[in-house]
Amino acid sequence: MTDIAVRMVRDARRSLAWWAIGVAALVWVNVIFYPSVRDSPEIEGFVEDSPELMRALLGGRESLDILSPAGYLDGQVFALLVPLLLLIFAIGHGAGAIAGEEERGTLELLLANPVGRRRLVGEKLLGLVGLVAVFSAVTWLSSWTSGLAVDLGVSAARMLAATVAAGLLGLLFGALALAAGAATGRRGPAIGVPAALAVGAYLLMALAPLADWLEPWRVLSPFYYYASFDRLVQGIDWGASAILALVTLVVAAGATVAFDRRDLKL
Amino acid sequence: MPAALELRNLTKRYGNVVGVRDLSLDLEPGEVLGFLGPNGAGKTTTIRCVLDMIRPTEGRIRVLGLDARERSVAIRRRLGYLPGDLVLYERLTARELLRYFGRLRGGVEAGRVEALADRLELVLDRPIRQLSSGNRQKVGVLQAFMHDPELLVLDEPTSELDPLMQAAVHELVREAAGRGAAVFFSSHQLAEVERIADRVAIIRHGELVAVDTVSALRARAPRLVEVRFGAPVDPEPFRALAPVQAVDGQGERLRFAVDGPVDALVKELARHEVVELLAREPDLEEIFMAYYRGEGEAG
Ligand SMILES: Nc1ncnc2c1ncn2[C@@H]1O[C@H](COP(=O)(O)OP(=O)(O)O)[C@@H](O)[C@H]1O
Ligand SMILES: [Mg+2]
Repeated sequence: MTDIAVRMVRDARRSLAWWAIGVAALVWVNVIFYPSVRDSPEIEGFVEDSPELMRALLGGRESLDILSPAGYLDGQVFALLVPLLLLIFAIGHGAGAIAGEEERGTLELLLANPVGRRRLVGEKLLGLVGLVAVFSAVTWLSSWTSGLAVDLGVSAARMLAATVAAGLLGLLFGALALAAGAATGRRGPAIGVPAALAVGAYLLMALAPLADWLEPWRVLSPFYYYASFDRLVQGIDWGASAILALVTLVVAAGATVAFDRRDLKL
Repeated sequence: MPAALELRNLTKRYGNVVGVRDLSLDLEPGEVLGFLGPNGAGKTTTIRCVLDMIRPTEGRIRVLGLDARERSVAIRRRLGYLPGDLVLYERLTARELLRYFGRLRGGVEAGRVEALADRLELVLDRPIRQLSSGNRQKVGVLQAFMHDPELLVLDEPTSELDPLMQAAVHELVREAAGRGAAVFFSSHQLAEVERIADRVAIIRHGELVAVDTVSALRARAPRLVEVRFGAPVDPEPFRALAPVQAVDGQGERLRFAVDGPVDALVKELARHEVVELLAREPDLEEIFMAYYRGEGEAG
């Protein structure tokens, strides 16, 4: 019962290889500059002088944190770069999973086989989990190895905690793409809806500290449960992970209902 | 044994567009039914409802005794489908695609794929994106037949094939019917349907206009009477005769479609000089065209 998921991962192997090269290179390039940034005298002043809004958008760090190993790794890699790449990757593959096959027309032949629509959504979600897991593993491996190269001093376990959180975040938005595609059968909304939600959720999380009335709404943003800096300092947060995973499952359940009810657009 | 396919008052609307309207039809095991109609008649719409890809607006469908919607997975396990708009996975080879689908079906008989590929002269190990449209169609045919289904639903299966390969597909169809499978075969080519179908269902503008065996359709159709006169004749008096359904031609040559006794026509003809008179059964093409024009009687 995993043939479709396996097929999805295999079909994505070329895309996956390029993404892996890209993410590994970006992580390495960012991490290996740690010693020179740490030792440069201007950097601290630059951070202190930068406007509050900008610091908020870059992850809401206090100025001191940015030069600590975890702060640097977070600011350069995990706060924005990794989730951004993961979201683009996961949304792209989530949208391709059903809407992509439906638009191309391969879905008709696939569903000529004895495969229920619920199973199809389930297997495509499973395939997405596999793809995101590989992406996350590459992210973790390159953080760990590049960290070793410059003696960064953040443990592999803490990096793993941050990577898992990023993976869960990516998976949630990938599942949203899968669901929007399952509901509409079109790649446009399958990419547009989760992308717009991601931008909104990021802004909500980043700007909430600046506006009192926004503060209580932060909990609605998936990015609130990501909190990569805390992961790099404290390790994994089971509660937050469970919330992200649970929302993903709810989204996938919604996808099966919507997909089950409608006509295929053939 | 339950009917292989049972359509009851099937109606499918796309917004205001009617795909099919109030269509009822049965298909028995071992039978080949030709589903004949021009483009846009509603053949693909009907077939997609059977496969549960789209849902009927009204009506009921049972396939192999099972409800088409509720038991779709169980049905598809026992059904082979060739879509009208066939789209394959371009980056796979035919063998990879067939192995993938074979696994989704829980495995197919060993050697079956190779044997079918041999018969259809299909090279299995080339990427599908490099195949001609005829060879792609063969991949589609192969995946429909490879698990020896009890019901085959083929949507214009031979439209991309050369005559030799058409014949190969017809042979597969006959073999499947021979071992008891039912075949629902849509086509807009009359000659093809006449060659392989036990019964023909003719669909036009979403409505079924006739279902019968080819010979019964022929027997029931109006007779054609062709007459050459010694001098130009006014066709109007003939139109008034009750059994005469249609008159065409002009001057010395007239053609009549007559449904029923020809006595009145003969007596009217006798008032003129008749040089030549020919009465015959219409061929299937003419019956078919009559239904398409809406001149034939509904069955
Ligand atoms: N998805 C659709 N949306 C709107 N109209 C459709 C759709 N599919 C088919 N139709 C219309 O339904 C009618 C029947 O089409 P179809 O079943 O494809 O005919 P056939 O297969 O006999 O050529 C046509 O008028 C066609 O334009
Ligand atoms: Mg069609």
